[in-house]
Amino acid sequence: MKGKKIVIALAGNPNSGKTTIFNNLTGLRQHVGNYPGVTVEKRSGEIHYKDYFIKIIDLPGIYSLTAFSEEEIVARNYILREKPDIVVNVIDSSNLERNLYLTVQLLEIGAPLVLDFNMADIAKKKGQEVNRKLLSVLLGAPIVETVGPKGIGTGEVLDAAIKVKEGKDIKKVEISYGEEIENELDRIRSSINNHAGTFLWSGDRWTAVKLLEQDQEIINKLKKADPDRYSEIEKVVSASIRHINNILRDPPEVVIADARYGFIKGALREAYKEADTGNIDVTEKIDSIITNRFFGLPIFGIIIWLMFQFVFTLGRYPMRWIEYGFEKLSVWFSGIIHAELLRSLVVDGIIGGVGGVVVFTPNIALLFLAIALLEDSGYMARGAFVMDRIMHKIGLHGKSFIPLIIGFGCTVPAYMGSRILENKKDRLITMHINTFSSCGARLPVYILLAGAFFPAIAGNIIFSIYFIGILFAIIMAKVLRATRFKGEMEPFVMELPPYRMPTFKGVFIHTWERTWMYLKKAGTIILAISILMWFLFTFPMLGPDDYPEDLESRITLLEESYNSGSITGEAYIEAVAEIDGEIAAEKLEFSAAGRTGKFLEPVFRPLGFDWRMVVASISGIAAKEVIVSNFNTLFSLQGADEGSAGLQQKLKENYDPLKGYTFMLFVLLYFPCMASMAVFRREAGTKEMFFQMGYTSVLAWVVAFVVYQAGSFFMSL
Amino acid sequence: MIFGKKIKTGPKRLRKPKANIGHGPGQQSLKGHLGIGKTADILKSGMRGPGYSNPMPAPPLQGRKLLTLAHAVPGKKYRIIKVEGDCKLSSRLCAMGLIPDELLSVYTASRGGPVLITIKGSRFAIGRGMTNRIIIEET
Repeated sequence: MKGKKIVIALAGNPNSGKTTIFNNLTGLRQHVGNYPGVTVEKRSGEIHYKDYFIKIIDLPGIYSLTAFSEEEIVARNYILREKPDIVVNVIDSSNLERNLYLTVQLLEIGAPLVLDFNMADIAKKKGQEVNRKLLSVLLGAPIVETVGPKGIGTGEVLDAAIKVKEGKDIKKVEISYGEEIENELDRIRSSINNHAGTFLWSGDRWTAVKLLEQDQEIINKLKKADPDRYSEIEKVVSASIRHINNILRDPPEVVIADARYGFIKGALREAYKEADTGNIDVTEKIDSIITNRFFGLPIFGIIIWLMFQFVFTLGRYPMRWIEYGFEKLSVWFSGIIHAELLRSLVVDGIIGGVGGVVVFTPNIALLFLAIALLEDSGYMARGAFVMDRIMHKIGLHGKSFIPLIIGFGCTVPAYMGSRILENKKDRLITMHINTFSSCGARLPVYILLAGAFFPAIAGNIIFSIYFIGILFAIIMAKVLRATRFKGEMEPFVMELPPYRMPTFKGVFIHTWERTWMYLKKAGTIILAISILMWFLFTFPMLGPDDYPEDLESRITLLEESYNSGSITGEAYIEAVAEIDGEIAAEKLEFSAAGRTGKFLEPVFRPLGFDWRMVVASISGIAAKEVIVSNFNTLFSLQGADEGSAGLQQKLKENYDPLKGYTFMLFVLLYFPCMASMAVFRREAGTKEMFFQMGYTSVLAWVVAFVVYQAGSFFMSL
Repeated sequence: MIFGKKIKTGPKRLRKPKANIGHGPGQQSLKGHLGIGKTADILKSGMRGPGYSNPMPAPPLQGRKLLTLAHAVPGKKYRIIKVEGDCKLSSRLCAMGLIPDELLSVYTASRGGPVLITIKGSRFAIGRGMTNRIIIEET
């Protein structure tokens, strides 16, 4: 049969090497997306193999098919609903008993299985011997051996899958749970069949097992499908659970798990031998140092410091090249576009906006490279373990520490980095407080304002802002945990995978995917927002009558005095720049953004802000460092940077130190920038993004209000 | 000492004759010591044996030391007796191999923090909230 289509799903424990197998199978022909409605990543790829078009889906790494985590539900629902032709179960051969637990559950669900005994080399080194033929009979599925990092056995996996698909290699195995459970299962099954009809997704036996295990997903679905029928079934189920509890002294789910392990142990006793090689476990030795009570934290600190240096110090060079490239691009476009408005749109709006986002690409790439290295080598889990005690105190997971630290560099990779948190609540809380790790783009604003108002103690003032940020991160973590993300903290159980050498391919693919995702964002949503922002800051434009009245006469005067030689060329250029600045300020004041600033001024007056500060804050939505250049425009200066004495002088003339400090706090607390919000939306959804924007804005307002009012009060004493 | 203060307030050892279990003063102190309310359950699980139609008679309780994983000592081996908690939690732990009668060894424990264990050839970090729900005995 030519060109037949097959869908293969990869399932397996985390750390079973599943991703490596997926990479081997698909190479770079991968597509990364999200499962609908959840933040679980969906990876798929398509290949052509021996007359077959094979679609390969990488299911999330899971330990079982219960409904404990989003990942498990996603994987289970995929197998139940989409019914892939083959499920390839990737198994860590060096840890058969635990890995086969998932296999047994895949058998229960009736998935057509191929067992991929991965990392066969490590198992052999450990002196483990598997009688594959016999074990395959006992488990009712063909077994192939692979060595992921070396790419051994990839073809065999596909061959075995095709064979199963063609129906040449199928045996059914049923797991027996022991007499007591079986009796109850029969009872529940007959109750289901009496009451159910068509609302099952898998066999009634499987559903009965899940009901005994009190699987919330299945219960909710049955309840929703038909509440009356479910309440009948529920009576039978709760009687069964009581009965089992009474007789076996253990809850059904434990008895069933026991039976599953019993089945596995039985099979392994027949077909598996383990020679004691007397090798000392290297992993345990390394762990005893890295997770040590005294060395653990310092080692973690050093590694995070190195990562920070790697991401931001090394990233600075390619960032400069990109900046340079965009500058050249601007100049080039300025040269070829003669229509002033269009030029401004292309150069200031599009190139400026998108360039401001693309410029972070090296940071993103290096960050994900670092994370991939930490994860693939196995250190990440240890770091989380070391940090867990401290992070626990503020109601967060040990791993939350990593995005929070990255946030001091840039919030965009920090949001993306919070993916390392598996639990949704932990992830959302971490993301919602991440903005309080004051990012690098906010630093120019602090330098400008602290330098203007507190020249003698600028360093301490900036430090205090960072410190207040951390304080708010802790406070808000606690507040969010107690309110919006209520509920007990996810119990912390995490596997510490054996240390492994990261493979070049795995790290490369991981880094590339994330970086590409970020760039795509820059090309789409951020492009749109940049254009929108440009319109806001450009239109409506000054009409011919709206220019300052004395402008023309001033220009004529200036030209005359230059021509007559009464002023030097230098002075002339300076004076022209001053007039240009005034016009720019005038234009800005007249634009939608300027008008919004004036319109919103009353809202911000209690914080001591005038309309210019409001406009600057609004422009900060585009990117926080834009605030500095906007202050320049607003005070009709040209080309000043954050250290500029001229701008600082202007600021001092217009505001007092209290207003300056309040403004810094405001900039610290409200959400970072449009690029980060676009990423936030992608990672957490539109609702969460608006929540982030809303609550940080309100918080910024309230804090600025309190500080300004209290400050004014004390100063008036 | 790696133990928390709790250990001093309640007896770690359970050297009660079978008949007294569930009635004697040991119940109260064990309850306090474990910080959980379902003492009867733990004791029941330890009481699998004659009198119940249980196919797997448990070893006699005499001389057994019951404690929670939170109080385990690094370097020692323990047998899991029971996991306290809802179905969701115990299913999760079962999937990771933490089922009754399984042996685990503790290799790092920090006061009040997570505990590192090895079970079925895998290493796990188990958080504080969970360590005092896992009842173990020394082997």
